[in-house]
Amino acid sequence: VSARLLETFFRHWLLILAPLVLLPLVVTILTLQAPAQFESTAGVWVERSTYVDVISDVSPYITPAQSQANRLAELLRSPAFVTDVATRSGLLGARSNDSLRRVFQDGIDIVPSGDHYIILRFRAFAPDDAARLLSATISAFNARTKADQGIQSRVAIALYQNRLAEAQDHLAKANTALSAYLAGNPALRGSTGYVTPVGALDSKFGELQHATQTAQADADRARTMLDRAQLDSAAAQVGQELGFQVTDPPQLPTGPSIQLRKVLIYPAAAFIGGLFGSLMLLLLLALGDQAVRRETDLPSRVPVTVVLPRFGPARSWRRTSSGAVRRAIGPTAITGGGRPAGGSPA
Amino acid sequence: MATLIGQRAAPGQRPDARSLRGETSAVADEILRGLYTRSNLHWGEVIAVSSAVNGEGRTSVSLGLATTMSHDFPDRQLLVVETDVTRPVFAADVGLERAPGLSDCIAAGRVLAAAIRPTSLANVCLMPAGEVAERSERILGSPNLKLVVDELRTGFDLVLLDAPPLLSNSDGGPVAALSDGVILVVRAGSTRVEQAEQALARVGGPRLRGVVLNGAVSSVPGWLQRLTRSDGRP
Repeated sequence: VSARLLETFFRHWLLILAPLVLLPLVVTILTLQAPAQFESTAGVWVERSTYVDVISDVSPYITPAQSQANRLAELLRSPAFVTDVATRSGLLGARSNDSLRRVFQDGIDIVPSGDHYIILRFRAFAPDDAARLLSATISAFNARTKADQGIQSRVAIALYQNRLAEAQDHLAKANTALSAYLAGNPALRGSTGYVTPVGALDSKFGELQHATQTAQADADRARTMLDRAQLDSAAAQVGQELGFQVTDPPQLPTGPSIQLRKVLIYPAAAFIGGLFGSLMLLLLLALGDQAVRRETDLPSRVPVTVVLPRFGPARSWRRTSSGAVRRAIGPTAITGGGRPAGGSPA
Repeated sequence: MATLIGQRAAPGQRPDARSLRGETSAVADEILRGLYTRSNLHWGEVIAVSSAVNGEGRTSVSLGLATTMSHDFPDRQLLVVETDVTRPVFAADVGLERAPGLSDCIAAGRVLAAAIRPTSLANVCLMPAGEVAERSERILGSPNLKLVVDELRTGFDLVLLDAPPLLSNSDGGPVAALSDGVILVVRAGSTRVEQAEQALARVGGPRLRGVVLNGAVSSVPGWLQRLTRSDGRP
């Protein structure tokens, strides 16, 4: 099989190597001839996208930057969000929705760098478009984040208010029960107000005291969380953007970007595709060749007496017709002649 | 076979035996010498040189074999008979007049002396097919064919029948059946394996004297062939 493949390869090497050479060549030329793109870059510092940890489905092992990057990538698949960005950038009427979606799918890179820092890159065929679209994306994402955080902070405030109310109710009940128990058992507390040794040994009294302390701690924790949620909500409302800060605003690109991905990956992918095509072609040619080419192609019971090679270069063989062979035998063609002179029939 | 001889002869110019001998490749001579020794040919035999289909080099092998044998056995008389009456080539390629030829001999029921043409090689004669016959099966199916062949057998030390192809021409079988043995020519890179197998089956084992793999050439570079050859031969 390997001998046949080798034979096929060297017989049709130009045809077989054509996909391997031409495909990367064409792709490289097309890549290099593609219009230059301009890239605008920005850096954003983000916080976790939710306040309410207990109701969040975000894994604690994912950094805020990763979480927000995933969120932005998902938002960019939403036509509504893309339309929002296009509206903010002023390109809504200039481009179709499909064109805009392709621009966002191919043109933007979202790269988390560290726990809280996200690098955003946007490529476009015009430097102004790149900067405008990136600014619009950040603006829309910020607005969406603020809106989400506002909703979440309101939800959080309501949640912690309920928790605080419940904790305070438990605390009041615990205090009432403790006071009633002390009133019924004055020996538990001395004249100075401290617990007597008798009271220290009373299990019921100890249990009530513990319940009171636990209720107090719950109430304090709920109050702290409520205060934090109220503070965040207030901060978001006044525009301080604590959880979303554009540390490096988008810059207008001054020159076209060098796109390593296009210059390297596309030709490499074309090379792999060409290699696959060449191999398939080689296999097809080898399998489709049913001609006798070597002695081993004939049935084994038939020994080949002689192998007459093709002498000389193949091109001269093709130029020379079979008639030349016969002419070169050179009969004198004595018409009407009889037996050759000196001929002696057996 | 084309390059056995060298350049095409100029129109109207026919190389003589001396120039033919000088241009013939010594390697090809040696190979054809191997053909007649390994094919177990005997003097007085009629050997058909056939193939599966047209264009495999029957005529070239027949003429080349006759040329080589004429050099090696100058005292033996050899005859090459063109039996493919539907596609005669001797007249056009070798420059013989078409008639009289084999078909005329068969029609007459005997060998016409005029049909046997001498060549520049003193001990090699050619017999063309004759006028193109529309109903070749009537000619080659005639009992006179056997009479003609038998008469030629007695007149020459070795008769080579340049036979029609076995698969694409219905005359191939009858002509091969008249011979004492068949040399089958298989064109490398052209004849399909199944065609070669069918032709071999039609010839039959005992009658088959040899198989010539014609025009075999490997496209693999020589250094790679030596590298991949398992027996270590240079």
